Amino acid sequence: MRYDVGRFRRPMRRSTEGQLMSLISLGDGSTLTLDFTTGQLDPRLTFTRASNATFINSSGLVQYADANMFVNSAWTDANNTPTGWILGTSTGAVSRSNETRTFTCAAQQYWLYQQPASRTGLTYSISVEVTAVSGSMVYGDIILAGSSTYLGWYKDGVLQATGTSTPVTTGVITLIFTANSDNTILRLGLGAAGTNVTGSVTLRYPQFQPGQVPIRSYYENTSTSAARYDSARFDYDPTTLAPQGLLIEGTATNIAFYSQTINPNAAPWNVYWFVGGAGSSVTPVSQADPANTTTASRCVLGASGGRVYNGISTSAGVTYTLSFWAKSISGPTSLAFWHFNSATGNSTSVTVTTSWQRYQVSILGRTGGGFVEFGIANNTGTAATVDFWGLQVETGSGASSYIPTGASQVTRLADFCSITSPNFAPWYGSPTGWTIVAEMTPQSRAAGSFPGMLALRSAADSGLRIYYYNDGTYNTAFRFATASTNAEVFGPNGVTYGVPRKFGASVTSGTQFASSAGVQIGSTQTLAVPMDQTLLAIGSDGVSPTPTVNCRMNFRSIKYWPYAMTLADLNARTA
Amino acid sequence: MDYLLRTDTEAQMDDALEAAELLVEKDMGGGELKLLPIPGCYVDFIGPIPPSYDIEGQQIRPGDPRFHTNIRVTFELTPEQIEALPTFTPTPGIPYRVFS
Repeated sequence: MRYDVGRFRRPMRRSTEGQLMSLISLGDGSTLTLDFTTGQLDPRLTFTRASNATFINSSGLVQYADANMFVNSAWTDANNTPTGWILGTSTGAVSRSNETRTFTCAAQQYWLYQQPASRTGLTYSISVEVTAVSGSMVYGDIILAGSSTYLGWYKDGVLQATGTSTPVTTGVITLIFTANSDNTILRLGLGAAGTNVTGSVTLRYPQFQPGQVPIRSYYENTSTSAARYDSARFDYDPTTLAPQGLLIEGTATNIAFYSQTINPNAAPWNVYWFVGGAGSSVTPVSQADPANTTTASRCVLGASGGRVYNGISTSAGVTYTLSFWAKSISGPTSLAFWHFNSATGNSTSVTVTTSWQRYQVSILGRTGGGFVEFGIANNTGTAATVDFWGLQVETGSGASSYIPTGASQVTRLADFCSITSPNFAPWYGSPTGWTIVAEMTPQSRAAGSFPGMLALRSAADSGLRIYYYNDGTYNTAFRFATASTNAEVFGPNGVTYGVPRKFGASVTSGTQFASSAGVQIGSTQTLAVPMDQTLLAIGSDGVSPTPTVNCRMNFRSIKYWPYAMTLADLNARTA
Repeated sequence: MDYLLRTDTEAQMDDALEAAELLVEKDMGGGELKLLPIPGCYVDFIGPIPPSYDIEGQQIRPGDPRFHTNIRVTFELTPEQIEALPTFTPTPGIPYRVFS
């Protein structure tokens, strides 16, 4: 890549795109092209997120991003008990070879364990590859997940049994369970259930991840101290299945408890979930859901104000977004978001369809603070039946990706994406001017914030930041800066949530201008911007020590040219 | 590693996290100073925990007016840092809020 930059250097000084194109014949002259609609993260990018997160996959289903919550799943260290694992009962023996461990017992037990951050009421999958086995072992001898509720055992993605008595053969075995306590103990080895066994088994590649994942994609974690969650999310339109690009979101908390165990009939869920109105009822956790499992609840909403809701404490003056998935089964479809006691009112109309869709509405917390009833209601005078799933209540004016909850509220942490040294200089080069254009889809932003969407900047903060600005008149801001001063230009309203839009800027050490949707934003600036940029931040302003991500957006593409385009050319690029 | 923290006030929480060198003061420009977490540290300020009520309005779980915070760190804290954190015992079997 450095070779390419060297070839750019001479024509850049000649300053015109036409000369550059004729000299180098490299497509459109850009030295960085990131296409996020491919579903692959360019290896030059650094991506981090420190928690689990969900997205809409290419089949339109809700799915967790890849994760491995076991530390040191690689088992490549030279210890019989791999670093990060704890030896439990050890009356048998263990030996190692590369990344495998062979457990051998004669009416004995030998197992290792960890206690990753599982949460009460949520569903998880634990898997390990069995490469060799002898003796009469069953699945329950190899894996134990505390006192959890087991939902099924799989081998190579095929359901074997819901009990533990299936004989073990080689392959990837997976246990899917619902945790009945936080930080459930997870055992791997022989005699894991506490019963002595005779024989041997060779294991490798353990994985622990959220959700029901009968057939895994192994996601190795080499850290000996932290879970691995850092898989980028490329989500899709749930209806058209069109790729949306790289999903970047800020931190958000689903403050609804038991978001998909909608069960007002029995403890412990009936502390949180309620059904009201004559003729109303719920058949909990019984129907196909938007995650391709069967955890949706069938709700009959009676003719006289039938409703199903979760009672949640709110703060006065704070905006909350209520979202859920619903599907009409029978009866009226003109139903209502139920937000009884909200300062906004008690309900808002919503028309549900006969296929799964996610619906959302933003409302204010209760006047003076206190409980609001969040859910779905029927005000039509005729009973309606719906399937209902995935209640989410979060602060701010837009629904973020779904955050499943159990007995606790759950916080999903922000995504961070950037290019820094040593992957920056090869495409940035040593320009006397540059141009960058990004196509992105703003989805929502945190209330009261002006979140950074993109930055091409130096450690001293010279360069460019693009903001999601919204003061009622403008919705986009470009900030050009030297190390000591800056100038901002603002764009008019026009950005629509969910609609892709191109933003771009052309920068030299004497002239800067910005463009969006084919139109210049504000006026041309004349700061002495140094050309010493070292960071491309995607979805944030890149401010150290930890950039703040306050917007939800999808990036479709980013392109960089190591020369400053004319305004006409830039407008053409953003049109 | 996740830690559940509790202090009497929000200011005490800020002081504790600063003392543990997990929050640092950053000049945001224009004289605005802000406490931001260091890389690898993620902070969720929860604040007071409200009580819970059943459908009849009866309180089923008391609240806690003290200031609560969860942190997740992706590196090993030093013994001194851990000592500076306002952890508490007994830790709740089911916390009010957790990280995903």
